[in-house]
Parts: sequence; structure tokens; C-alpha cells
Amino acid sequence: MGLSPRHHAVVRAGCLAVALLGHGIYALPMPRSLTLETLREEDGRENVDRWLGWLRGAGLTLQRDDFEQWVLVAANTLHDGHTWAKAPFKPWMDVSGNGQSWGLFAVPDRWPVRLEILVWTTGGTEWTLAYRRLDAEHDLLADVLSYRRIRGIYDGQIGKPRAAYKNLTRWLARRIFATHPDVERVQVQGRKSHTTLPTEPADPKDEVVSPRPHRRENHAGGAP
Amino acid sequence: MSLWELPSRWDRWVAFWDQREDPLALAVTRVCLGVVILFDFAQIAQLDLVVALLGTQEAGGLSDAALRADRPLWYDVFPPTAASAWILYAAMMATATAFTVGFFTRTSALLLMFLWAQQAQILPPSDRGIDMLCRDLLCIFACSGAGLAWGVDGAIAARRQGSWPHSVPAWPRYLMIAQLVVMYWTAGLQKVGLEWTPMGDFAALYVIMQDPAVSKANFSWLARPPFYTLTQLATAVTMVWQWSYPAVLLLYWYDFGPDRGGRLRAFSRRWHPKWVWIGLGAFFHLQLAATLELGIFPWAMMAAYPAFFHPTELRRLAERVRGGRVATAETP
Repeated sequence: MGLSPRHHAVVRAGCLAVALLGHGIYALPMPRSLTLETLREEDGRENVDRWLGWLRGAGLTLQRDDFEQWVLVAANTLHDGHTWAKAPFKPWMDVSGNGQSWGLFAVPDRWPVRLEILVWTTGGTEWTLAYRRLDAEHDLLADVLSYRRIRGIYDGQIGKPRAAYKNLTRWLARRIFATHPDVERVQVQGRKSHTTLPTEPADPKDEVVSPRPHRRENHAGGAP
Repeated sequence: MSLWELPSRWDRWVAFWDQREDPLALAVTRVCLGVVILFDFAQIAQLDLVVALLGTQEAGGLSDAALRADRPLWYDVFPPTAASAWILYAAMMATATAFTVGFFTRTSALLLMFLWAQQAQILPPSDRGIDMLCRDLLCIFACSGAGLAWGVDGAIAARRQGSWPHSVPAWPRYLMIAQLVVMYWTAGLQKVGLEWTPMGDFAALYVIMQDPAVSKANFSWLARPPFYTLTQLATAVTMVWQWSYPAVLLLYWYDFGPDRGGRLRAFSRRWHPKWVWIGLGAFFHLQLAATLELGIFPWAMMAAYPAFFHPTELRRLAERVRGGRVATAETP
């Protein structure tokens, strides 16, 4: 025998209460777990500097080390508590790919990295620029590299190269070797600069990060 | 007795989620979102990225899924070959198409959500916030009657019953509104970078537009006056808009909740200020689409906007547009 309309409505209201609770817990804007290294990277350091300056302006003088420790303890305690509260809902969220993490440009990147691809052709004497983001004259594979799913693999990852970025550079090299028989070597790298505000002195820093060179002979026979 | 007059909170809770409405708004949202999803999936094939994004390293893909301890279910069931990547892609396209045309809408939404989650697990860095939002919405669609208008399911039901279904549970649309409110609001709360605040000179949008990874062009000219000031103003508006977004729920409550008098309620019912927040959101997304390379993000967000409309508002709007067209045509 099926449920009566009233019982059906009650069961649905109960299920929705549980679903809202789970998604509500996931939506709590809690910090990520932090390490001292993260906090001392360029962006983190600049943010700490500004917070300390602002607190000093408000009459609170804190030592940098103390402030960093306080931030670490607070962030990691909140993160651990959040992880604990999410645990009962995690199996469903994982299998369904659902979630409520909406940190859209939460911390604007003052040290952006611009992707570049250099190639060395047969008989060549130097590297030639084949791709540079936002450079219409050097646009090899530009449509692929601007696709959001591919951008996700290198944007924010170049400075701290992870497996996916390394795989991407290998894959790009193979794709170029497959379509350009005259190319002997490919190097994928980032070019890091410092975005300063109009009210700040310009910083001419322009540094190559995470260069990943590839030789054709090492990719022979590999899938493109 | 109206639901607001029921004696206990639990009874009101049960009755609130038991309301029904015309499926039009849900159907329009389904079609809009489905078209955006199909466009995004089609781009994967058009750019020859099926194996790259859905396949493992062994098959020429970018994923180390076959080597990880937490191997995705897909590669537990299927071998790590290019054919497996293509099967997953074909299944995603088929379910997305079925969802868009409203054919086995609930099942196709559910299957698409699970398959998409597999793709996310195969290559996590390629999965963006907007993918998660789409899957959240698909989960809601999987429990809705969204296929009973503007869809094959509705046509089949109409053939059986003699007329198109005119009433489905309203709660999926309420959840979609809640989802959008939570997304905007918590995105605002998580903006902890000082550039979003006066201490950081309200420079966030200026800084983001200088990031070559996301900007669509060289926006260095924004450093010149008055453009920098305009970006500061836009940053401040963005923060106020996102932090205050829960006001939309209060305004819905005023518009559609119990009639208890009061100036704010009367003002809301007369002028519907919730459209200020919703309209600002649409403007914000159009601006993002013009200046930043965020893929389907602005379009998928706006595809969910029909859920903000009550079906009668949507019908009234359609009639007004149709009436406007007639009037224009008749004007000599």
C-alpha cells in the first residue's frame, strides 16, 4: 500500500529539512586549512602586511609571528570543525559532485602568471615564442588553452606545479610534435609579474616560473 | 485555511513544501540550462579534448586517475582506454540532450549529474565552480516536474491524459532560488582578500582584470582616471550587492508570504524591489562575459534566472512581449 498524500508530504518535508541542513553546513563560509608556507607566499605576505597595517591604524600593535600563528590556529580549527560537521553528508556530496563552495575570486591574485609556449625548430638557433596568453601574434593552440577546463589546469597551478600541470605540458608538447614536424623541442612556462595599483610604484618584476622542457625524442610513440 | 494559518511550525513547513504551481518556470530554466550545458560539452569535442579531459594518461589524457588510490568509479568499471573516455563523453551528451528536450527528464538529470561527477573526479582541476552549481541544479531537477512543460515528457502525458499537466510541486523552484541566494551571498562572505575592502583600496576588480589568465584583453588602461575609480565603485557595489543578497528571500516572503500588513511589505508588493538584486546580477554576468574569459559561467548563471519568476509572472511577461510586438506591428 502506498503512502497517503499527507504522509507523502511529511516524508518530503523531512527529507528536504535534512538536505537543507547538509547543504547549509557545506555552505558555511569557513576558511581552508592553512600552512605557514602558504601564508608567507607573495599573496599571503601582502595580505598579512595589509592586515597588520590596518590593525596598527586601529591602535592594535601585533608582532608578525604572533599574528600569523593566530591566523593559522583560527583557520585550521574552523576548517577541522567544518570537516567534522560535513562528514555525514560527504559520501553523497562526493558521488553526486554536489557542493556549496563559492569562493569566486575570494583573494584577487596580485602575482598573476601568464602562460607561454616556446618552440625550437629544426636548424634553429634559439627558442621562438609560439604562444603567449592574450598575444594575437603568438597564438598556437590559443583556443584550446583559453577553454575554461584547460585553463583550470594551469591557472593558479603554474607557480606550484602539480601533477596535472606537468601532464598538461607533456600533452601540449605531444600535440605540437604531432602537428608540427619541424619542431624539435617545446618548453611550457609561466611568466610571473606583479600587479600594482595606480597609487603604488610600478614593479618591473618579470620572472619565468616552472619551465617544463620537452624533447621530441622523449615523446616518440606517445599518444598525442 | 491558508498554510500560514496552520497551527504548528511543522505543519506550516510541511504545507509550504507541498505547494504546487504551473511547470512553466521550471521548464524554461531546464531548457536554458540544458542548452548552455550542451554548448559546453560540444566545445570539448570541437577542440578535440575528449580523451584529454576524460581519459587517463595511459590513453593520452591529462588525468592520473588510473594511478590514484581514490580511483573514480568510471575507471573501476571501464579500462583506462580512449574508448572509455569516448563512452563517458557520449553518455554525458546523450543525457544532456535528453534533459534539454525533457525526455525522461528526472532520470536523465540524475544520470547526467552522476556522469558529470565522474568527469570531475577524473580530472579535478578541470572542474570549476559553475560545474558544481550545474550539478546542484540537476539534483533538484531530478526531483522536479520540469519535463512536463516544453518537453517530451509533457507531450506524452498530454497524449495520455488529454491535456498538458498544469500543476507540479513548486518546491524545486524554491530550492533553486535558495541555491542562487546562497551562492551569491557566501561568495561575498568569502571575499576575504583586502582588495575587496576599503583597506585594499577597493581594487579587486582592477586586479582581477589585470590577470592575463582570466581577462579577455589587456585592461592596463583601467589604471587611468576615471576608469580606476569606476572599477573601485564597481568593486564596492559588488560587495554590497553580494552581502545583502539574502534580502531577496525576505522580499519573496513579503511578495508571496502571509498578508500581515506593514510598510515594507506594502512597498515590496507594489514595487517588487527584489528585481533590483536580480537585475544587478544579470548586469554583472553580462559584464563578466564581456571582460573575462570564464567560459559558460555567466551564461549558466543566467540560465538559472527563470527560476526567479513565478510562473504567472513569466506568463505575464510573455504576454506583454507578445502584446508589445502586436502593438509595434500595428503602429503605422
